[in-house]
Amino acid sequence: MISLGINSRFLHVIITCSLLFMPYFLISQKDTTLFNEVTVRGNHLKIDRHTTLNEAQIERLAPNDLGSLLQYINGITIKSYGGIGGMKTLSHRGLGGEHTQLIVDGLPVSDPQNGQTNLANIQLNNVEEVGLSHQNTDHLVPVSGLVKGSSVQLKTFDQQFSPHKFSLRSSVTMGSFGQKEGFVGLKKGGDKTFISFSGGYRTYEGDYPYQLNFGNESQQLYRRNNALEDYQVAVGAGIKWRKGTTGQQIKFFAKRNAIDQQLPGAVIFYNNMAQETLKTENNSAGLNYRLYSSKFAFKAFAQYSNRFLHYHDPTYLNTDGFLDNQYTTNSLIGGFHLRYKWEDFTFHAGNDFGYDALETTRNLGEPNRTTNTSMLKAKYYAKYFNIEASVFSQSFIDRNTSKTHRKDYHKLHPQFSFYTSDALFNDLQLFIWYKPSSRAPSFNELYYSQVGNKSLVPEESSQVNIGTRYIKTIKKVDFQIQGNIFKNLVNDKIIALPTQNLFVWSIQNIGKVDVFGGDIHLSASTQLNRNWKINFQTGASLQKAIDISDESSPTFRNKIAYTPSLTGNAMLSIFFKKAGINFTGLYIGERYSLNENTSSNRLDPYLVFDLSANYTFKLKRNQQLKLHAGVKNLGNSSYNFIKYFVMPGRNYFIKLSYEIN
Amino acid sequence: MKLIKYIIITLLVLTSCKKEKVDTSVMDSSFNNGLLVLNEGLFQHNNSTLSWINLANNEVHNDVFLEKNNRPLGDTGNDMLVYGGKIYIVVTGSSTIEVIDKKTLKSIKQIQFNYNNQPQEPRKMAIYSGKVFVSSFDGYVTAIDTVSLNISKRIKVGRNPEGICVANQSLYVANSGGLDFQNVDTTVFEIDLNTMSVVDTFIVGNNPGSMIADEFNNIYVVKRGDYTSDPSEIVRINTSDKSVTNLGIAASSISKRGNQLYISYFNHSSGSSAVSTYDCASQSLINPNLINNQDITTLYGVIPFKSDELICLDAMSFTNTGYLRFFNYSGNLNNSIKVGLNPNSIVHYE
Repeated sequence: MISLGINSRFLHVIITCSLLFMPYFLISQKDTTLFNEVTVRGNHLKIDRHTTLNEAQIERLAPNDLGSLLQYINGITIKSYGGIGGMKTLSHRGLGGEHTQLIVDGLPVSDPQNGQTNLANIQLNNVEEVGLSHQNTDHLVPVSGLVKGSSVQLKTFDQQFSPHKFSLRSSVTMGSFGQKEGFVGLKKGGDKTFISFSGGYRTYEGDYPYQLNFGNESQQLYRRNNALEDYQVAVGAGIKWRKGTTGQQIKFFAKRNAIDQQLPGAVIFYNNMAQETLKTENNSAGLNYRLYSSKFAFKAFAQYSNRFLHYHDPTYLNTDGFLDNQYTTNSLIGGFHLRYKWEDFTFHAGNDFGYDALETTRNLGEPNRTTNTSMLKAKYYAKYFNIEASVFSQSFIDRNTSKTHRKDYHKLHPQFSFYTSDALFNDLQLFIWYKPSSRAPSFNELYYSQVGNKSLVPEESSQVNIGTRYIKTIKKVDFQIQGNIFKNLVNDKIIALPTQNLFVWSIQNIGKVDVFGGDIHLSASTQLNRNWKINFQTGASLQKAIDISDESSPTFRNKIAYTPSLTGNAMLSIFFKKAGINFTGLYIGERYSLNENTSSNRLDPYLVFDLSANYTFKLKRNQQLKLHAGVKNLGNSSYNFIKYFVMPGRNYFIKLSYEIN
Repeated sequence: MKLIKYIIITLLVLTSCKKEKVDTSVMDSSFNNGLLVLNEGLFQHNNSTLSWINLANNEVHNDVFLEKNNRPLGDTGNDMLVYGGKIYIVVTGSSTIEVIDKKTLKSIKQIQFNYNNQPQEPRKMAIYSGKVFVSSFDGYVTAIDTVSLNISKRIKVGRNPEGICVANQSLYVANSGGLDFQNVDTTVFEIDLNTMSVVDTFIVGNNPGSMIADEFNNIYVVKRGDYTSDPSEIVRINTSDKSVTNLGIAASSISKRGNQLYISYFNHSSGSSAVSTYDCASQSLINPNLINNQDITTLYGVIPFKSDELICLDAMSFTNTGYLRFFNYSGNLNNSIKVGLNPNSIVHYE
């Protein structure tokens, strides 16, 4: 099913891409003046700053996917089920991944079937920036995403206007356990129009060795049924125009991503015979329109996505002798967000409307959901501070041909934030914010046969954050320190529990979680002299996410499953001329596989180091060839985040990139 | 640079963080006056364990299989029985039968249950004349010779067989069809133990599970229904006149002492647990509710103990460490002992 080995198909893709887009190489336009989004500037610049990783930092980390990258952003815990292809979902500050919105190029990405987006399916070859935002922003973020406590925002090469007439990104990567990867991205145009294409192809055998510890002994085994093949293509276009002081732009994209993979499952002792497979296809297309003037800004967008999942287990012991399930989700989302500035105030209004429908080969009916999110927001800028208050309205209307439902859900959420300005303390900023929001149960949670529970209500979370940020340059060293203390509450938490017996589970709204914690992030960079430069950053997050659902339960006040109390990361890069060395460390503290914090449910902490080196050859002006090679999991530590979903030991990669502009 | 130094030191300190020690408590090499408990664990968590309870002082040693064998039992230990000097444990997820020495708890043989290149997922066992009969989800009953520990025969039965018992030179197997949910099986097969072939079929109701035979030519089967409108109840098969009768008694699992059936029932919607007793001789319900359900969180089975006690298996909502709850015959709770996750079977060492 999955063809392996360096193959002609890869070359074929590259050649096809080159030929298809050759005409665009030849036509070029003149650079024109840049005009970016007009944001509220002045003495409040730092407000929009959030934890981001830029293109260079992403490159240095050489992550296999978005999930592996986000581990290096403070406060995010990635639940990782394997290396390349292994499912990865995120949890931010003890809340489920559904409370964090993924936003790619300004448009929301969701998965109504599973609730959480699998971050392993998002590759980063074309990503220029990844950031975590707590969304106290003046940017015109779609309000269905803005209502959530946090968002992970991606900017891709494909969707940015550029000062260059032509840009190219291309790379070839080889890695341990049969990793082969190729990517090409082309962009033609400039700062007024662009047209882009990108395509990538990857295969992975995934037969990595791992160690199983049996009491005082251990055994060396190999992961099997873990191969993967995927490809992705995207086209994009954008146009900007200006009339007087009003600028407008429209961007368009269409993407396709298909993954054909084997599922190794959890390691089961004495039974290494998994044969399950999964096919995933994602297709989407979207339009994003913006209008800007000095006082008024407006954004409207529309997006269609189609997701197809095909699960197959050829060893299932039913009458057919196999299990074969297919799911297709169609989603439409559209909305607007406008901003009006009047003296020291800005006012925002927005509305998003979404429709999702699931069709499956299983007997789940034909569920659909209509979602509406509206927002009104006002922000006041005083000399020493600014203050923002907003109200969000969330509605979820679920229907299914074969089932009757709970009442439609409507909820109003007031949100609030307060930030000091530079005028108060020059290098120091203090802020506080409060963000409640709801997340709807996923289609799986509502309908999954036997397990699903159609009377589920949305899960509600609220977050309070008190934070500070200090930015200062001392003796040529740029310092930035950020610290936060947060308190989160989750009500009606949606959890899966066995009910009738061990094999009949059900999803229920019974959990209550209390999260209290803090995080600190420090970065320092300095240019020692013309040749030497050092960047360093580190972060640590301490949190206590405890179950407060039921006083009589043995898990009362125990830490909830898979929420480590302590996580930390550090990144050090040293540059000498065109060469660089990068060293990273990631620490994940102890956690429990179930809500009961017993020693048998405890999972060991782990520390993983990566080391890599890169060298850039400048070919001509605007052209460079980069060589990057490294070792991941340098200490060859045998670890798993999720119990028995073993991760690869020491592995190597080499990547060659060629870039124009 | 100083900063970097400190960071590296911090990281080194973090790596050397505490590592929990494996329980190295020394145990008596001879096991007597105690209970060996099979804890099922949770599916795909590889955490099925054996607990040893010393009845002299009620001391519990968890995970004695690991301690004695330096390897874990595996995933989902579903059934355990003792025969001769050996204990047989069915490990469903790992698809193995673990044969251990009763005296030392050391593994004598781990039998891989793979057939046609796929895991068979063994479920339940019964003993007859020097053979252990194992039902497995792939639709077979497998006979294992208890001397050579080799597989001596495979008999094709219905869909996803579960409960299995022996009566009058016949083997009865409950075909659950549980993996075809919404289209489950309803049959019990009778296999002639002399010819090893299926000789009769009884229709008992949806999704039959555990089974037990009495001394009066009756087989009792728990037909689990569909967990909603079709309730989980006991159905009686009379092996002499071949009649099938639904006794209308709510049940999740059954056990027997003498001529009395002990029926455990956990009602999920009300969260209540009940134990009832049934007299096989007079075919009548003796006590519809023997114990106080306040004493139990999630009843996972009842096992008669000594001549007049009962052990209720409390699965504690299935995800928390389970308990054995000891009741006297008047239904009063005498003692509770914490064991492992989802205790399901017990071997009593006198």
